[in-house]
Amino acid sequence: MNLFEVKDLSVDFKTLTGSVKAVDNISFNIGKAETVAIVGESGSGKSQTVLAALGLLAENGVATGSVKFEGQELLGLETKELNKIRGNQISMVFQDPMTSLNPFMRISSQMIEVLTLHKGMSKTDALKESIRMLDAVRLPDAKQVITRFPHELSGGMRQRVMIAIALSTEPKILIADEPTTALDVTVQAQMLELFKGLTKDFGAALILITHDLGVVAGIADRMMVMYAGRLVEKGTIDELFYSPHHPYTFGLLHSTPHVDNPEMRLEPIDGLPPSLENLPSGCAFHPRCDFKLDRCLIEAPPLHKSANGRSNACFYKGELVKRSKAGE
Amino acid sequence: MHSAPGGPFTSERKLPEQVLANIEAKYGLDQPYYKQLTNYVVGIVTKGDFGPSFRYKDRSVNDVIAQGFPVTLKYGIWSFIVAVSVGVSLGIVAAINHNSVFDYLAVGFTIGAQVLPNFVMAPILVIIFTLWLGWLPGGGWNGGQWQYLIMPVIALSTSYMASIARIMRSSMLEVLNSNFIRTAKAKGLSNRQIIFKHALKPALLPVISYLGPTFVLMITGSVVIDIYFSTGGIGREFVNAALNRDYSVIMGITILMGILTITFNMVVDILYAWIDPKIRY
Amino acid sequence: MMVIGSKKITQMAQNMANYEQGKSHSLWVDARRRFFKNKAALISLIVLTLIVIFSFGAPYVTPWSNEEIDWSILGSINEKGMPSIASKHYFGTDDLGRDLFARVAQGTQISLMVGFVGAFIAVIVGTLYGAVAGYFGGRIDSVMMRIVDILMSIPYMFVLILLLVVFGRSIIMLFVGLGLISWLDMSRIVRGQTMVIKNKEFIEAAIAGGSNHLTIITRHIIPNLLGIVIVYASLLVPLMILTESFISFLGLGVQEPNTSWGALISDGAKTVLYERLWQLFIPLAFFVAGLFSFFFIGDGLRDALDPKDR
Repeated sequence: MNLFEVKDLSVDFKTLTGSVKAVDNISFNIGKAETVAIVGESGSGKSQTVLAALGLLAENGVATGSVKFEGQELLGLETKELNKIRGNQISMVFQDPMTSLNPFMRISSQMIEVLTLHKGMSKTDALKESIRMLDAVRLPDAKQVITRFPHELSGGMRQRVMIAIALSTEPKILIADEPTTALDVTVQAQMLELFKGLTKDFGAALILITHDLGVVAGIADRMMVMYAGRLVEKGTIDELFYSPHHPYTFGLLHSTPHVDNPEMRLEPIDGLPPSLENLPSGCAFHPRCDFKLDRCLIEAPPLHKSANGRSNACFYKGELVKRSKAGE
Repeated sequence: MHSAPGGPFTSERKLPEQVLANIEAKYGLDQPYYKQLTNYVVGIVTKGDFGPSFRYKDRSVNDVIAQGFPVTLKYGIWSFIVAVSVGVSLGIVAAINHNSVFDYLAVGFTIGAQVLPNFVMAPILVIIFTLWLGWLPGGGWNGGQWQYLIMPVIALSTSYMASIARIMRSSMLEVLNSNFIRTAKAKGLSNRQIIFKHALKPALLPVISYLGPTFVLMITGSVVIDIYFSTGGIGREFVNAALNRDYSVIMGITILMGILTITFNMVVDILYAWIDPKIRY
Repeated sequence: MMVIGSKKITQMAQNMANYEQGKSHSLWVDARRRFFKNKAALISLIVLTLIVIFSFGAPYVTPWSNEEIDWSILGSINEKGMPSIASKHYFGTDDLGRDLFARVAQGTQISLMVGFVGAFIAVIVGTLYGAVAGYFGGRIDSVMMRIVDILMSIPYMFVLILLLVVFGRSIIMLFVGLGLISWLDMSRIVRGQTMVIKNKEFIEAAIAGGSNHLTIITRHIIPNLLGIVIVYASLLVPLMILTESFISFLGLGVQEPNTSWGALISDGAKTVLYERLWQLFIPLAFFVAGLFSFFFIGDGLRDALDPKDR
């Protein structure tokens, strides 16, 4: 039994003009203490996938399929039961530390409440434990910081607080939704370091959601690439980084700066991510694809497994080589 | 005020010059204007004395206020409590049950109450409770017994209750869609904890800034209540004084209302600063 | 009586200020299309038109004038003063035996006039004041806005009553008083938007072109405030009517033999205990229908002119 199993998950949003599919029939598993990255551009459905799992979709969102945690179905679970899992067994760190902490409450009460709720601690114990957690996320002067309000802290400090809150219940899974995007570059590196170290120390699995391949390379074991709500490729980091099979993964890699290979030319993927309300026919990526075949315009390629455990959703089976553009 | 044509002692019958002069001397109206003003201000500041009424020979402005003000205060405070507590609860419940039947009813009520100001509510209440049902007396005060209190309070509070409910509902909806509420949900907190621990304070802020204007409007509304229900509050005295050109009473009541308003706005500011940690004095 | 949902207006002001200038033509065309798609606003417009037609057409339909007393029914108003077609008192009579149909029509005219004139004064004063404060900024702005703050904390109804008492009860005084106490919100909104507009390129261009302050304010700033001013004015009209009704209810507003919705409701309210409910409910129906129409039209205009959703 896997720790976390997602099967045929779809997320639809009801709008005035109809329904928009944000996540389209995706499946994946996550094992114990594994670090998995979900990569994609904004609007690719990567955040909605995990929000759906925790029952955090916006009011007009509907999730179908199955999401199992330790064999227990999460979709359609009553809020009361779900509340025993989220924040306790599965914790989440959100993208924007500036707005994700309650500006009207002191850090102490925002930290204490999870411990008293899930661990049944007394307030004094919870406060001690919270200070210990702030030390663990290497926040200097934790005793002082814990009495402050969020607006009195910097972005990096707030994100550390968020991480401390998420890890304080010793969850089995930590979900981090773009945890570094809103931070300065220097702080980003520290933060990744922290994630890597802490999940190892606490033995938690980490689901890292990001659009930044640089972040993924340093810390994840496996990665999944999403495009327009669909899973287009998944495999280990090495496999995907050194021999991508899907043109989109290939394009992403060539648009990210490489430390190993600084001379490499950066080639952004042409065009824009498609609007979910108005997806292209067939494979949603075909208008931007350098390798498209005729059938890509008509039918969407299914995700199929190759022999070595990798999967990708593309009809093109040839080698992916950067094609020089006319005039170059 | 002195520029107004006519005075408190102009009447149909022309008074003899001498009599008029005597009367004016008694009230100090024969002195120069600046002297009158300083006497008036000194009286208020040193003795809390607003001077004699120009209309009633045996009553000072202080008597008029002492008689009417407790009445106004009693139904005013009740109306305020009812408007705020019911309005806030209604707004919260409507926001939590967003797009439910209850929500639609609440929104309908808040829109409808826009055209039901106190002077419309008052006669309608009398028709229902006095004329048709015969449950409540149509007016009077009788020492402020509850039967006499109900209709003034409902009439005065309804439209403000609706405004508060509308503000509360929309600000609660906004807060409930904010990122930090999503965080609270992800922490596994129950709905009750989310609403009362996390969402209530920020959602109350717009309501609190509306309390100042509400208070002023309610004071104003007391005029209608006093006239329609004959409750004998300060509003009636004000209108009578206005019609009778009883300047000292008008001034006294206006100053009193001004002081009340300023005090109340200060209380509101303090309350606001207490809730919002970003404001520190 | 009420506070206009100032947050929405402020938001709209921001949206409008940020809207691209070059598209202003399509903005108005688009707004008209959107307004006519809004059913509540459209129905309200029709209702309001009917009310206006009624108020001006009624004198041609009824033989009674608004001051004429029908002596034949005096003393038995409960029986003979009821609304009836036979007696030609279509809405019945009031307490003094005067025809309510004619009086409602006349009161409607007065109430509508008070609403429009009061809103008009408030808009003119508020727009100029706010535009000047916002345009010059700095110390002038802070002094002008402090004055607004102070004025706002005064229980204005008392001031209005004082004005009416001191300067005599006349309809002109009522207009002036209503206008003078209602421009405060308008000036704040206008000031805020002016501050945004004055930093736009076309204002710099006008300054570089040598225009003086007055020209810039009247030719460049105020036209760009038009949308917000229209919406705010449309919401001010019902507030003016409400305030006038309040004043008239106290007997301080419109003077006999003229009347208004508020005065009619006041008269009706006094006779409630004599079972002459039509005297209250007929003017009340006009009052409610009229106010609702104005609110929905104002709302419709706001939705139509707010560039947010496109």
